[in-house]
This record gives sequence, structure tokens and C-alpha cells, in this order.
Amino acid sequence: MMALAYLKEIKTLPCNLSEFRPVDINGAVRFTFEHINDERNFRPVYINDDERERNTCLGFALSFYTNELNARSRIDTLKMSKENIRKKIGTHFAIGNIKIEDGISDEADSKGHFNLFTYVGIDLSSKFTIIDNIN
Amino acid sequence: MENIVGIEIEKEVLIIKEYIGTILFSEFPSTMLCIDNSNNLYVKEWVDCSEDGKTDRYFYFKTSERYITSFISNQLSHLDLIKKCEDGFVYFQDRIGTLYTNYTIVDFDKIPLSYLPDVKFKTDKNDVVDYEKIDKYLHLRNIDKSLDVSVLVKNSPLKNKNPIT
Repeated sequence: MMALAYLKEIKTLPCNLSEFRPVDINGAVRFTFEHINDERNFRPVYINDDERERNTCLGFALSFYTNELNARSRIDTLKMSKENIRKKIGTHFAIGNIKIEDGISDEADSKGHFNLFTYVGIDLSSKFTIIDNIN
Repeated sequence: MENIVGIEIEKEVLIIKEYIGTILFSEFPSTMLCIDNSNNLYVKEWVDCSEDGKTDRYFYFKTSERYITSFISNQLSHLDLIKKCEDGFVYFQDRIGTLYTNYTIVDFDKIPLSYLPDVKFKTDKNDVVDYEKIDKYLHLRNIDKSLDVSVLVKNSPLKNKNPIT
């Protein structure tokens, strides 16, 4: 059985991993920066931002949307509140296929957002492609 | 980042002693609720960062339980929440790494437009990241909105009475 990345940290935080399953999700979309190999792109927020209060294990998961439409809809909402938010969460959309061997995911919510805990050693940058910038 | 025009004051003037929780967003905490060392309620808004990501810009403003309740229950827009700041001004501050600058006090009217939410942006409790924490602190369900004096005055028959001619 493959171990989750950051499992030691995850265990110290409130978490319900029973809701997570290994699943195939084609056409998943994530906010990234311009170059797919940017080290921030597939690192959990708690690693990218060490000032962030650690109060949930989800800070060690990666955020995705089930499709491009949901991702575009969400960024439009975020930008209505914070015009500059793309400077923090990503300036581009990247699309790719998540496979069962990549990690475990929860069910997508009503906005098409889901979380993925990757397994140790998984590099998603080689599986995702930038498709557009976030204006 | 935008040029901020205002009056610089020492950072000791406003000391945030506790973060109650994040209002928005799960992707990035950009609107947070906190209290100062006199137990006044403040909202902390992240608004910008430098191109290299090393400097973050925030502003703080004093608010009330009632306005937070209205905002969280989709009755008050994000822009109106800021507009109704209790002091009429906000406190801008930059964070460079772990260091915080002094504050710059800025009138609401002088806040750069790119730092303000769209006039139509509202939210509800389903979008609030730390709703349970905020509810526990503010007892949101116990606040009686019918006692809002501004609403009572606005709807007063005297205010709407026709002038004597």
C-alpha cells in the first residue's frame, strides 16, 4: 500500500480520510502558475505558505475542479471579491488526468471542487498541461 | 502594487491579538475575522502581493457583529461591509516575509478600486470557511437583526411623513 505524502503532518490535524478514495478523474483542472514546472504548482498550500494556520489536514491536499467550466466559474467568483487573487493561487489553468495510483480524492462539492492527497513520490507536473491564462 | 495615499501610524496603534477564523476563501484566506487587544472586531483583507510574492498587502477595518452577520447571511455585500467600517477608514499594512510595516490610514474613498470587491459580490454561510468557529465566537444565531437602529430609522413613519405645506 502506498503512503500519503505528508502523512506525519496529516495525522496531527483534524481529518476524515474515510471520505477519500483512489479514483480516476479525467480532465481535472487546477490553478497553476505560468510554467508547469513551477515548484508552487503541485505543492500543498501549507508548504507554499508557511504562515498559514494549520487547522485542517486539507491544507496538505491539492485543490482541483472536475472540469474547465467549474474552474472558470470559481475563479470568476473569487475575482469578484479579490481582483488580485490570481497572484496567490495561480495565473493559469492546467488540465490533466488523475489516476488511482496518484492518490486519494474526496467527492466533488456543488462547485465541482475536490481535494487530492497524493502518494509519496507522485509528480503531477508531468501529467498536466497549461491550457489558458487567468485574465 | 498600487500606490497607497494616507497617514502613516505606528503599528502598535492596532494590535491584533486573536484570529477568530477565515470568512473567505478555502483556496486562499483573503478575508479573515479577528479582534484587537481591546476586543474590538476587525476584518483583515488580503488585497495584493508583489510580483515576486515576497510582499503581501492587507487592510484592516473595524466592524460589528451585526454587519458580519448580515454579510455572512447574504444580506450585505462585501463592498458594503467595507463601506460601513466603523471608523470611516481602513488600516493598510504590508507584510514582507515575517516583518510587518507600520499602518497607513486610508479613507474608504481613497482605497484603490482594484482592492475593493465588485459591487455585486455577496456570500452566504455555505461559502464561509470557518463558519463554526465564527458562529461559536459571535453566536450568530442569537443576534436579533430586528433591533438594527438604522433599519428602524429608515422605516420610521416620521421619516416618510409628507412635509407640511
